[in-house]
Amino acid sequence: MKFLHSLLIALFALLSFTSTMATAHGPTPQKVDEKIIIESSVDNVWKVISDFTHIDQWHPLVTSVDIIDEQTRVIHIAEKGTLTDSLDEINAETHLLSYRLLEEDTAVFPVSFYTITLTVNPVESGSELLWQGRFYRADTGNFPPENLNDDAAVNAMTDFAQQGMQSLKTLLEKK
Amino acid sequence: MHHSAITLSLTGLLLLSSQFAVADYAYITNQDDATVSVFDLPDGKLVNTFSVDSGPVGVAIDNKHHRVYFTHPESGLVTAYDNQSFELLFKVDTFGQPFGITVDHTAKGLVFVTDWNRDAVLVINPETKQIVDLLAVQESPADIVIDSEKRRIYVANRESNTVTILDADTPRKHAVIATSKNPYSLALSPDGKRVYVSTVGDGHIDIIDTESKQVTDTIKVGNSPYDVSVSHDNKRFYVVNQGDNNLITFDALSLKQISRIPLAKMPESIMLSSDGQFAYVTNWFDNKLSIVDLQSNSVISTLKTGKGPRAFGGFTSP
Repeated sequence: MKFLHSLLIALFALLSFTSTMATAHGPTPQKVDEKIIIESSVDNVWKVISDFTHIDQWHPLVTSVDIIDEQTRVIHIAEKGTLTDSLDEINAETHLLSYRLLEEDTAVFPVSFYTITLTVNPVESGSELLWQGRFYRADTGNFPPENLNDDAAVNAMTDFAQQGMQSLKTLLEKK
Repeated sequence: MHHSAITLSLTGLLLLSSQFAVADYAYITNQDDATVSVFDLPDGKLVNTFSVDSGPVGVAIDNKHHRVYFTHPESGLVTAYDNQSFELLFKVDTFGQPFGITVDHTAKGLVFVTDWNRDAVLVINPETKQIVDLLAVQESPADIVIDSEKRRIYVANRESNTVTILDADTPRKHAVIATSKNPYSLALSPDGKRVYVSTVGDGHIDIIDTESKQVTDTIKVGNSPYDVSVSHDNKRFYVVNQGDNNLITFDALSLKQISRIPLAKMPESIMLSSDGQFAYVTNWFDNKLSIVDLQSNSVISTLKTGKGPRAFGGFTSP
């Protein structure tokens, strides 16, 4: 019994070595939950964000987009590389757009997977834009290095949301 | 007179103790604040919130032995608590990423746990508190269910797009079945004839016939179906779509939609009440537990949980 126990521990050790860096998403989802008020109509905001394959026209971090089809975009991030997003839902009645990461590149963005939902709601001064999502850090093992851990993922996702929203606000309030 | 008073109070005591023994709880693991919220069922009154080791995700209840188990993938622990007093009984360090968990309700109450990072199923003997076996499955095993009668274990391998069927008693593999994209959650019909597989990558439910070990039907249900549950009479199944914020009821025979109920943001896990009238759904983004009346197909209450409620697995008693 004791022998069996040590054998099992040895097996575990071996297994841990062979798979320290798991791909795809891990066990701990993280959250992005950002909001901005834009002094422009819901229709105006919706018109811009619902154009899924032209995010490069308003997001400062996206330099260009390769359009694979209406549901699939490859976004180019300045000096870093590309990510592929796939559209899940576009609802013109509720002003909701959701998409997911199809092909990750953790050198571009330190996440292994995300789903993002953008929602526009009417408020007194114009529109409220919500940027909400769920994602997983780049290194899904239990000992991720600093640049691939939960904090790195949260910071990158939050920054991408904030920069996009701020740029939209500037763009739409200028009109 | 005196005698009957004693009899009465004894009866009262017995009644009290038997009520205590059958208290029906939902145990919600809150991954982000390392707590478990305990709700009394069927009404959903919050009876306790207790602190556990960091990042609890999976849940399995063993009423026979008065235990409830939690997995903690980030710290590698499986913890066992008294299911009524919520006191810590023991911890097992797996040195891996324990994720899904289920209990064999016969005999010793062996505990089967998926290890996300090591592509294995760990078997824990709660009497010795040791890992007694390690069974190879495929990549990123998520949910695990056991058919205690037919002695089979089903495992969803999220990154391999397969379900592995293992023997519950011997290290034998019965089958590996190809599924749709990213199988995550499993539900065994109470009659043991079907296993419902929710595949989060492409929004399907695959239905496995357990006798032929084949996928007999595949239906599109929505965006990111994170969990599925089967009615006690096997006639309906329920799917929660994380991307659509809804619960859909299906007829198990015709596979047609019966109803569609909107929920709070990012529903994650679903379980039914013991009488089958209510469904309990955690909403990960909103930190809520929704109680759905399955007769009227409406949400009757939405309760606050801790942060990041996962409750992955059997978080209520069958």
